Amino acid sequence: MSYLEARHEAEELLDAHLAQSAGLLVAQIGHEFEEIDVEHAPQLHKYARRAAFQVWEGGTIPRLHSVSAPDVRLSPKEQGFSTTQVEGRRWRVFSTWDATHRFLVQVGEQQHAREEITRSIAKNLLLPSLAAFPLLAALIWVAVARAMRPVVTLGDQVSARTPNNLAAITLPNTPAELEPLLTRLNNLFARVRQSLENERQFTADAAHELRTPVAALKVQAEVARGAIDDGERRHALDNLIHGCNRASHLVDQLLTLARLDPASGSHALETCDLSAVARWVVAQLAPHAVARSIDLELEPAPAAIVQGDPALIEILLRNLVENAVRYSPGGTTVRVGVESDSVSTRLAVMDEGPGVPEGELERLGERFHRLPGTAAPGSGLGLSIVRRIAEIHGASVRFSAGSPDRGLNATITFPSLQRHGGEPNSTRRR
Amino acid sequence: MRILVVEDDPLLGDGLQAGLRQAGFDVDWTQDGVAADLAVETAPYAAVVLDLGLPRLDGLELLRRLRMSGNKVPVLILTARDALGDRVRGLDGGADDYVVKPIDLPELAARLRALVRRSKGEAAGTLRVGDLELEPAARTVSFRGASIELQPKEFALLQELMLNAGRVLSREQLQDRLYPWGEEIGSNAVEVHVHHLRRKLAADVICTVRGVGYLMPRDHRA
Repeated sequence: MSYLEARHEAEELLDAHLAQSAGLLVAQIGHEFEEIDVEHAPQLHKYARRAAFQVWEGGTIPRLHSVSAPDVRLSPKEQGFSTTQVEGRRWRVFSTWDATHRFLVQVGEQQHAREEITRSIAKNLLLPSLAAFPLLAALIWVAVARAMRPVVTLGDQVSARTPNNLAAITLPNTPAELEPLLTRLNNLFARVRQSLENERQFTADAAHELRTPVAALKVQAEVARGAIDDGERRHALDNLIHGCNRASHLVDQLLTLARLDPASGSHALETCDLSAVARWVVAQLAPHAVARSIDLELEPAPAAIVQGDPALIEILLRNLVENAVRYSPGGTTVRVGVESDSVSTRLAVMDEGPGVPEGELERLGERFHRLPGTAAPGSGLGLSIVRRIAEIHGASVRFSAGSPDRGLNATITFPSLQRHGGEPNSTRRR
Repeated sequence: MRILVVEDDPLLGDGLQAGLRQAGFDVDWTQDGVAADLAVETAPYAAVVLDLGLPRLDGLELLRRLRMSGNKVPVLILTARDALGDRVRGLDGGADDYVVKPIDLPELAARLRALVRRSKGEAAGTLRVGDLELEPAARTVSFRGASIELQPKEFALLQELMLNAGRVLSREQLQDRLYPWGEEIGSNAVEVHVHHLRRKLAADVICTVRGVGYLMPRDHRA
């Protein structure tokens, strides 16, 4: 581009020069031309050979011309610039008449000479920048490579990773532009790491928790096989059946918990009535409570609407009530209550059992955590399930000592419907 | 041989107690660490089967206390924890054997017999004192080459006396080693069993040390 521009500028300069030369000749004609016959002006410069001028009287009779000029007119045109072909050479010609319109002055330059000049001018202009190009390119290359180095390092670090390596990526002097990407990448790594760790822990815990029931089954079976009398065999077989029920309950609870895993997708929440769920669960578990001589009561409550999955809330309440019935001595009461006000809706299960020591209240609901000294059978998963379901509903779980100093109160507090703002999925965000 | 099983799981504990009884052990079973601690201090167990995740007092802590107080009773840890670190902690913590659940009862019984044997400084499974041979695993006794039929308590009494050959055992010590909790003991039970053993074997197999107890001489013909 700049080469063409330079050439164009040089052409214009030469044209202007041509016009000026012609003007000078015209000015000369007025004073001295009377005595000039046909004259050959001498060649003065190396370029002069390629430049020529002609003065024609009346446009037809040659009166004066340079040595280099051809014998015929340089251009048929009588005014202004023209490009012609004369005797095999291409000329650039400026033609003009003198003031009296007697003499036609034509000044020409051979085209190839002009081109040589313009080319050399352009070349002189261009060469330094041509020399600068590689230097510039090298500089740009170095600068870009420097700027990209953190990106390349990042790419190398990511591609060198095994699926097990989820540690945060660290870059030496992270550029500001990469900081957000790196932060997000590391946050993602942290979340995946946490989720994998949970999974691993859960599998380990589950396998570990299944060992004891399986060991019990095996030992009871061996006892039954080796039993000498019928009473002993019957006892072992009863225990074996009981053990199978217990193991299958543990497996059920594990499956429930796995289905409630945060990674297993969203749960559709709809409006549901806690009181109706409570009535249903209490009705279902009442026979079980009666068999254990425990009064299971539902405190009368009006409809209490929350956003929730009725099936999940049923599992939650069932676990709480089953726990209360399991750990309460006979002759006591387990009460289920539903309360509602403008701020929240609460579901409560209150028992009169031995309760839980202050220091242990916090650990309730930890996976597989069973209270020290617990004799009653349990998977240690029930309250984990309760906590998980509450979490899905954006509800909080609180365990507190009953009054006075007896029993355990479990309270699940659901956000009120208004605060939910009709956006059930909001509970999924944490 | 009187064994203490410490296992909080009701079904497994019940099964271990019943199964080890079938294998010829006298078995006490407790479900928590504190009760186990008390039991080991007060009764002369031949070995302890110890679960680790125990209520009130953790198994490893119980083991540490036992060893601190100089109690050398053989301890077999029976647990669901199978990580290398757990096993190392258990054995370094003073356990004599470490077994991961689930387990075969015959294997558990064999391991217990081996522990008891080694704790008495015996390497072979068969106990031999003079002309007496006792096979703990097969529960057979032979005297001067002839097989002898024994009742379970007689067998257990003979085993205790053979394991402690050359030492005097009091009537109470023998009683403690033969009768687990809740088992009816007649006031002269040990005397009766000693009497039966003498009749089935030979009178001089068991010596009475008047006012102290009973003794099986290292060589009863001497």
